[in-house]
Amino acid sequence: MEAQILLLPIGILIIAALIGLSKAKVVLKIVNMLSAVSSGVIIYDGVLGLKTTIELKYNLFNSSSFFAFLNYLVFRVDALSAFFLLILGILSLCASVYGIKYMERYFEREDMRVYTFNYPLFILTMYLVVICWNLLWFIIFWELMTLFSQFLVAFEQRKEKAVKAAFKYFCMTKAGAEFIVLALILIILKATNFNANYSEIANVLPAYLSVHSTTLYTLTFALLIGLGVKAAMVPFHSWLPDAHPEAPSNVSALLSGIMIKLPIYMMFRFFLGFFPLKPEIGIVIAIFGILTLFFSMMYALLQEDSKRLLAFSSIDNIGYILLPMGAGIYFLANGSQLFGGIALAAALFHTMNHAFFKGLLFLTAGSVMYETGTRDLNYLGSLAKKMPLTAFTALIGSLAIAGIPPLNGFVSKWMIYISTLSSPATSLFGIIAIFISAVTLGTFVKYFTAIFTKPPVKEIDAKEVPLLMSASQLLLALFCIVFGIYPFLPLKMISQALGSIGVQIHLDSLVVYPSLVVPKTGNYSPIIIFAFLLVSTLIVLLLIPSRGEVVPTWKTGRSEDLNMSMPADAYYRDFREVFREVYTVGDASKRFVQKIAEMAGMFGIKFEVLSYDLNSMLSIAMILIVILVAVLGGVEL
Amino acid sequence: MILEILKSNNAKILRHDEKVTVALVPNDKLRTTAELLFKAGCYYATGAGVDERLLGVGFSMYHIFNCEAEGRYIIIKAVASNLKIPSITPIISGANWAEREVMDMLGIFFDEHPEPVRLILPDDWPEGVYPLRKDFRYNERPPRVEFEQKREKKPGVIEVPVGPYHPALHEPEMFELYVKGEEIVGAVYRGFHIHRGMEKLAEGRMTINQIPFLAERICGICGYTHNCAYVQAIEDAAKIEVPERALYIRTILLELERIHSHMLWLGVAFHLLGFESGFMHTWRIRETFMDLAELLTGNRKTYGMNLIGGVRRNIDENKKKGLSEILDKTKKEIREIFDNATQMRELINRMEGIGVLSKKKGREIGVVGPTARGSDIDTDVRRDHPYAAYGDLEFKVPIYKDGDVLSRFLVRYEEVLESIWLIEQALDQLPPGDILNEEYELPEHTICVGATEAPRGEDVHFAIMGEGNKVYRWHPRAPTYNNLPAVPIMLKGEKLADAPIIIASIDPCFSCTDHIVIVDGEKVYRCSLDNYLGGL
Amino acid sequence: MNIIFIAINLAFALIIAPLIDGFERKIRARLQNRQGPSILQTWWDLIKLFKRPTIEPQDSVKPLYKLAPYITFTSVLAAYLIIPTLLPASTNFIGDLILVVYLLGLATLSFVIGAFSSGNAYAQIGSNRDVSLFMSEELLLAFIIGTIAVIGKSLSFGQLFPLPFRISSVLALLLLFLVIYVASTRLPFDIAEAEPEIIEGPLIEYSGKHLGLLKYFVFLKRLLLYSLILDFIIPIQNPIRLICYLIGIIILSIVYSTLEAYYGRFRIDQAIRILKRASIVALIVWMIAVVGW
Repeated sequence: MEAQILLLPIGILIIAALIGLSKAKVVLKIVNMLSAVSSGVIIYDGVLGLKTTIELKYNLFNSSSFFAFLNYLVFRVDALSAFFLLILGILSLCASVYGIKYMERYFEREDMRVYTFNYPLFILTMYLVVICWNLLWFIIFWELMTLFSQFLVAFEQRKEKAVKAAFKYFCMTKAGAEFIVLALILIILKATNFNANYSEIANVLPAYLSVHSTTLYTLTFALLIGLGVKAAMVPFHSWLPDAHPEAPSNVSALLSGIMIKLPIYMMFRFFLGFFPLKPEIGIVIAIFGILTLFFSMMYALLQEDSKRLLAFSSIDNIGYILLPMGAGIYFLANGSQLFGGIALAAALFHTMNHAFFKGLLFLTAGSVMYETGTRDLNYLGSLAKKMPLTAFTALIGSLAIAGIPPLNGFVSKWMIYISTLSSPATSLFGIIAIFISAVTLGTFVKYFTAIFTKPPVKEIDAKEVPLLMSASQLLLALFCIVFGIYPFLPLKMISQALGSIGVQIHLDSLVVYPSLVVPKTGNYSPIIIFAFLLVSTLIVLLLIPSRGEVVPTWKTGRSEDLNMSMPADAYYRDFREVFREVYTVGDASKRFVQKIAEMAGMFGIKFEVLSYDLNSMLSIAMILIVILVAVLGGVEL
Repeated sequence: MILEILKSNNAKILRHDEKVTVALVPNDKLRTTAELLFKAGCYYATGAGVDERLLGVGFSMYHIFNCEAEGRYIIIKAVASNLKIPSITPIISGANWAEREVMDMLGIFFDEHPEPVRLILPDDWPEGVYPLRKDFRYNERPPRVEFEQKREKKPGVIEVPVGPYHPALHEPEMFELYVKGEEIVGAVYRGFHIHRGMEKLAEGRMTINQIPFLAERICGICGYTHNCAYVQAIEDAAKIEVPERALYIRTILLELERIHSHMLWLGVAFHLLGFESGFMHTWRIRETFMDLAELLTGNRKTYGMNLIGGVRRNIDENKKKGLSEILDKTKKEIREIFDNATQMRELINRMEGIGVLSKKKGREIGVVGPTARGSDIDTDVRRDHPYAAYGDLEFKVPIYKDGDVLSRFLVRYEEVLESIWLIEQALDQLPPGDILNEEYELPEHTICVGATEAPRGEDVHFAIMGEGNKVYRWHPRAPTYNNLPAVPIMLKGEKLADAPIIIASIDPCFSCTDHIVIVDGEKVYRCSLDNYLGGL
Repeated sequence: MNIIFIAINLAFALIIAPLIDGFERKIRARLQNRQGPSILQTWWDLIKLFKRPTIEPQDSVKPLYKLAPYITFTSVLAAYLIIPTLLPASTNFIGDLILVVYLLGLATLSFVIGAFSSGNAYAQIGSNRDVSLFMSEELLLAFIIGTIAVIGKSLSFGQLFPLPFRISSVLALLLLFLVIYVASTRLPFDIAEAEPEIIEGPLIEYSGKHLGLLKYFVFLKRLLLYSLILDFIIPIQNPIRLICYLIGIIILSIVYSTLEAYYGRFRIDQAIRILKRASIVALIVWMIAVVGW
């Protein structure tokens, strides 16, 4: 019975999707509520999974035909999957509750069925990706996830920008998925004798790959590209800044919060579970992480669209996850258990933290759009007085993502710095990470002040969002604060998750304080610092109260109404000017990729024209088959 | 040459001698005359409107041109028919403000003026009340009128108010800068916050010999040149022979004032660039000059030395000796500070290439003084229209070609050294004799012009003698009046951090001036205030 | 016993910071041929500010605007618990140097958000410059921290004071000298609070007690950074550490204020360019440190 609980969300979400086919107005509320309920069940599954592993096995087809590979549908939740299930559940709960009220804004304009049908299926496919235990089924669910999320991105069908973004997203991730398929085929052909079950692979593959190192590198290459596209790793990231702003805000929260973390989950499984640990792989992943970190954040400084800024920052945080993952692999491969464990724990912790604060920030951007109808940072301003709850949660989100103690962002960044700065090989990465953390601070000062504190050009009419929307924001903000002050709870979960793939972190060698996780040395508990900070602020506040009189803002003696608000594109102009080499490199590479895409396009057109002729089509097809057979069968990989 | 132009346009020559030519031009020939004069190399100095109804003529407008080629001033007079005179602004953009001032103060309307809007009078002054008309008494105070503030905010830029109260400005004036990031994309300026109605006072209740003291108080830094310009105008009208010794004493004091004004400016420039030490040291040296002035005249500023026909106090041998000693010492100190300053790369970086004014634009607007000399315009009243003792002394006029803030800085620095040299020469050549000539007769209704080179540029005083001991009309035109239209052009495209030094680089003396030019976004065009406000 | 020492350190910092500023003003005045105010003048200024009432602008976001000075002040005060000043007692643990960087970042952040919330054009322009300068200075600071971590082979100040004497450590400390100069908002880097240009920038709408707290924050930050560089140089166990420390503070004040009297103010892009070049130098220093020199 316990194990059947895994099927419950599947059932609820399929019912929700079927209901979503109808056009009635109340369907929106029902679908969102059903999704919320199923998210609750997912959370429960996650909690259960952390305690024990749950497994469900099905024998679907009993034939020994081609479908025999798909025969074994195994759902299994071990600690790592449970961790991701928890994140998925909490985030989709908040997004669904939020969506009950938020999607009403779209009632008149769009066909709601696109949302009500695809949204539950999107959550469903993400859930299935996390719980399935078979590589072939994984690919099927993976592609389905891309499909449904693409429709959600193109939700505003009449906006050409949205449709184009969805198309670009789909094409790029599909291309990436081909690389995953290639890796997968290699694995099941060569190593495991057509068995795609994770446990089987984990038993056989490490030993095999230790011997065949070229296979190892090919697989690493293919997986990095395939999973990297989905995770928006630089240089495969260009779909994300277009796709995430166009989706409705709760869907963006899900896209940025959990969907781009699923490749991370698979990377954990592959690189830590299935592959042997090699330091070069770690360094390569860490380098990708640094590239992602650096370029995306410098671009985030430029943005004037609130959700696009958040999208670039999502890419940046993926870098913050890849960097410690690579560093952790490197440390573990070199035998340094302590720092390797801290680094990997940092990666998982940052995954969870980013899901929370980025989800929160996207929800606040959505609230602002709900009330004012715009995402343009130049136009917005002074919303803190009108939407105090949203402003508060946005402030918590911005502080968390900038890594300010004692919120949760600081803990994961702290662990990243401690682990990377400890060894000269990776200390350069840590240095760049510290710099980009400062740039993140600057970017989110821009985000927060441009929306909430600067005086607007024209008075904006807005009021606080409905309770359902602000409640989900407050819940996420609460998580940010609690996990910052009491990181022991998530750390326990993470150590269990890592333990399930064979990395041991000994929690007793670390001392966990509010906001700080330190190896056990040092003469005083650092909690003194924060206690001091709190107490002294209170003392100063009480001792020096301010009684102020209110006067109009000083305009050097003018009485007219001046436009005193700084437009968003004016922020940090000089900084961007001086660092313009970064942008020229980024733009040059973008142009380079576009050139390649153009050439490939022309090639494809020529090919298509050629294929109209039946004879030439057949002959080309035969040539391709011959090549395939030669490559797969002939060459000894 | 000029005479031919005037004769061919049916002008009636009212006065013609070596310094001033006055001609009455019929209204239909006004524009062509102005155009020909401009092409012949005369640039527009100022314009004054006069209420000559008591003389039976009606309202008239005097346009004053400075003709460097022939070394004299050309004044063309036009009489209003039905309160209308054709405007020469479409041809000569420098006449813009002069005509608007006359529209405000006298109620004459100029046909085809591109922006006939209020310039001097504040927004709450009632319509139809013209202060400079003879039937408006000097101590009359009309009631305040409520005016509407219609103003739309301009999106996409941040409007930074610089003034009226801003630490970068010495006097209240209002600049409003439109800033994107750090770059200024537009500027609006409105002044006349300290208009004190001196012209009316002078006509209304002062005698000819009291006006020098009033003129000295036009400005706190360059008062003595205004004083000199006025007495020169009257001396020119009455053909008074000023004793030579008096002329030399005037020269010494004029150069002393130039030194102290330039030192003040140099200190302020350092302060605006953030170089506090330079500011302190420069002003310490300036103190010496203030002490010198006190030695010579009894006052640190506002010397009160001029009367019509000469000066009031003499320079005796003791003072001469004291003067020479102090000059020697300070020359060395000044050289030291500035050699150090010009070697500081970061100061030079903040002045080089900033706030550029091209020679052509400068000529069109009619900039004067160091602002012009920094943009390769070779003009100096001391050399072109010699007055006081300048005809006998030799000096160099520094010209720099780049037109940026650094050029103006260097021009002023060199002028300080030139001034010290001039004072030394004057002291050497000081002729003996009287210092005041009080035997003169004041003619009535004579038109006269007096011009000096103030520290900021050419200072022109236009006067029409009246009956008895009074003046019928007096119009001082300070140099900053002509330099201000250049500021918005210099500001565009520069960074906000450079705005104070650019505004300061023309050495604005707003007490002397008080006037608006609007630069909108990409184009620089003169537009009417209403259009501008509507389009914002 | 240690807690009492830490408390003494804090009290010392609170009392001495304005005195050091007064001392620097005196030196600057003397260099400009003036008498200058007395050394206690900064204290009198602060006391006067604390007595005045505060005036709040109408368009501001009140809670943020009012809370910001307090958080700024106390976060820099909290950093004193980690970096010892007079007496060598502090709370140290692995990674505390990162915490110091983040506490200073928290101080800057709350300062900037408070200024942005005040609704004045000048405050926004000034805060914009402040954050740009902060980001560039963090790049240099990150390199210095990385280099120090590699040299000292540890991430805790307990092991890092003092640094072993090597070429890379000398170079790193020189760069730290530059960073302290920039971070203490002196000419030529006082771009964010330029008076003639943007009327004191972020501080424009603050008055009375709030302004007093913010000015006090700047003095405390300067003393903290001086103590940091001195702690890297003076060995902790040295018996005459106290005297060395005090002499070091005086020498640093003299050097910094002399430099300040000498320069004009940079524009923001010139300042960022200088920091960028210094970061490239820092990269080379890091490489030297990794190699082992």
